[in-house]
Amino acid sequence: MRSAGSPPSDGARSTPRRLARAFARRMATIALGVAVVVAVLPPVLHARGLASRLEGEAAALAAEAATGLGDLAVRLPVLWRYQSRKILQATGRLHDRPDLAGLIVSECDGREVYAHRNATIDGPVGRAPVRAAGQTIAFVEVRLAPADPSSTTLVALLSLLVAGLIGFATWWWPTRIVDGQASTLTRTLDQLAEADAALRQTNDDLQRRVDAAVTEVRALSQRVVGAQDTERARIARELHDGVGQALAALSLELGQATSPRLEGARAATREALAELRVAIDDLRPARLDERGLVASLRDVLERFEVRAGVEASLRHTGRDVRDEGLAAGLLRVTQESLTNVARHASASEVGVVLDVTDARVALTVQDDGVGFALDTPRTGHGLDNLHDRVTLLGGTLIVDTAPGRGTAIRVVVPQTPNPDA
Amino acid sequence: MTVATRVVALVVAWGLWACAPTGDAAPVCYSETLPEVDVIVAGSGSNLPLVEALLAQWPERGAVHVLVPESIGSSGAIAALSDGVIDVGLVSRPLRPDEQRDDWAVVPFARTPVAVVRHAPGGEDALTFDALVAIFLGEQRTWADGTPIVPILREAGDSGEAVIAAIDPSLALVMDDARAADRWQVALTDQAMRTALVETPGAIGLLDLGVVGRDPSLAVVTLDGRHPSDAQAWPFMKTLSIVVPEGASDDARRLADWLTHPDRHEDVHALGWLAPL
Repeated sequence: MRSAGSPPSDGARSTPRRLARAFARRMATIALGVAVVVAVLPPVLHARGLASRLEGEAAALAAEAATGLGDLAVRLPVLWRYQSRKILQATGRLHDRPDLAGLIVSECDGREVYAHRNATIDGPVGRAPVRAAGQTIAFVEVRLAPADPSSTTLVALLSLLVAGLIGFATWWWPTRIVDGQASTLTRTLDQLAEADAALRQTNDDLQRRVDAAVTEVRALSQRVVGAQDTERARIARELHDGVGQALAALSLELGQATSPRLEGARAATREALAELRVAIDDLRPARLDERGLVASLRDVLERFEVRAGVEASLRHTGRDVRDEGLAAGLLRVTQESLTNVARHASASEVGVVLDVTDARVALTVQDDGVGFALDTPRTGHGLDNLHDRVTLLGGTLIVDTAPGRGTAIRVVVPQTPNPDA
Repeated sequence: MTVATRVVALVVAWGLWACAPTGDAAPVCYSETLPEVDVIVAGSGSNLPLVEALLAQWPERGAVHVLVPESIGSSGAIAALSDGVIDVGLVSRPLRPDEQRDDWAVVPFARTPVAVVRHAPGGEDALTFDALVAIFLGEQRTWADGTPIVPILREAGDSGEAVIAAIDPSLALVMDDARAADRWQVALTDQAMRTALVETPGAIGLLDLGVVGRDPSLAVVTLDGRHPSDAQAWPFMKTLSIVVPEGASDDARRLADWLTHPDRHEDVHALGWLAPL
């Protein structure tokens, strides 16, 4: 009747919180990665964009200057070199560039026709060929100062700020949701624990009621068995004092007779008296505390042999059983088992084994009869009585049988420590 | 390797790629050649109109092919002579010490006033030197009739400006400042200056008097009551010279001798220039 589950432990209750913390740590790593990307990407893109734009501008300026020089070279073959300075000065966009770091016109062999450079500035370079009549005759190289880093710095600072916000949001928002779920789960576990405690209480109540019922049934069975034994003793006493005394008196009266018919009656009376004594002994066993269980079992088996015509044997190991209650119970179990053998087993042999140790008493009654199927519905109460008696003794009963294999009744009863042993 | 570590590594790799330099194309050479002529005479644009006019009278002009290309400036002429690209150089300023060579003969063959010229009509015919400085300084922005004044500069190192600076450096300093501030338009040659003055209402600039000619769109301005045509009173004079290397060809030498011969002074004067001193 007990619940198979167990209530959530403190560890189980703290699992959602631990998972939430682990998730928060994991999200912190991811948020850090996101923040790094957000912080790095815009400044790099911005710087790259600025550099690309300046490279493009440098290339455009170089192309513009090269075009002017090319036009001049068409009018002034060779001599354009000596006028190139003016042409380059006249290239307004070049002249206006405060960030012009270098302007070099060089021939194909590398000889510089015109050179204006600021050696300390290294920025994006644009290069364009000077072409005259479809031929490249020189190159113009325009070098601009690097982009002002202030805008990139500003972008970097803004990116850092945005990265911080996004990183925090990336960590905070999912973590908050998971925290909420963890709290819900913890509450659910708490409710589950409360329900489990209530269920345990109910189970305990039920168990107590079952235990009380079992105790009551045992007491009832004990009273039934006790009543049976009392009734047996009463019947034995009635038979002994009534029918037995009458048969004894009749036998004495007939002992004086001389006629053959009366002689036959006297013999029949004596036979009836003997059978009556056997029946009385069966109903009321001799004083077990004096004779012990072993001797009583031998008497029972001897009578069983005579009466049922089945060979019976006893094998005994260990001490005898002197406890009258235990001995009487085991004797009754043996008697009822033998009764079942006689009634149903069609056995030719039955063996009783008694093994006594300090801890327990084991009794086995085994026959070589027809046996039976345990799951077959039974009409009598033999096995039930056996079960009740063994239960009263606090022992266990095992019936080992199958059709055609005989039957073994095995009883094991724990033995209370005997200080005299 | 965690997800975050992978992302960071990816970003770093991308950054390295983004910052990687790109390569340049290898140059392809082509050798230029000058036209096949006997003599190449090149140099300052101040000289060209006079030289071309004189060459038209040269007796050998049919037998000796002479090329006079457009202006390459006095400095260009000196550099081209040094490179041996031209035979005769034309300069309109004295050679600087670093330009002078012992095997070169620098022979003056004419002079011309550096005049203050304005667009006509409109404007004023007489200015003071201080008023001229004020104009290029941007302090005086309109003519007396209300027309906006449009000063036009020559490039730095122009021989005409150098002539004025040698006498009064204040105007040259103002022009340097104007160029640095990109305040006014800059003409790179005498011809460009002349064209700008002709085409721009209210324009004013420095121009060789010999180049002015008789164009009605141009007017010569007197400075402090002196007119450039008054060679005795006008202080800003430019001397035009011919530079002939010692190793010049006979044709070139004969041409140079003819151009600088005293017999040419009269022709020079007739063409609107002044004979050398």
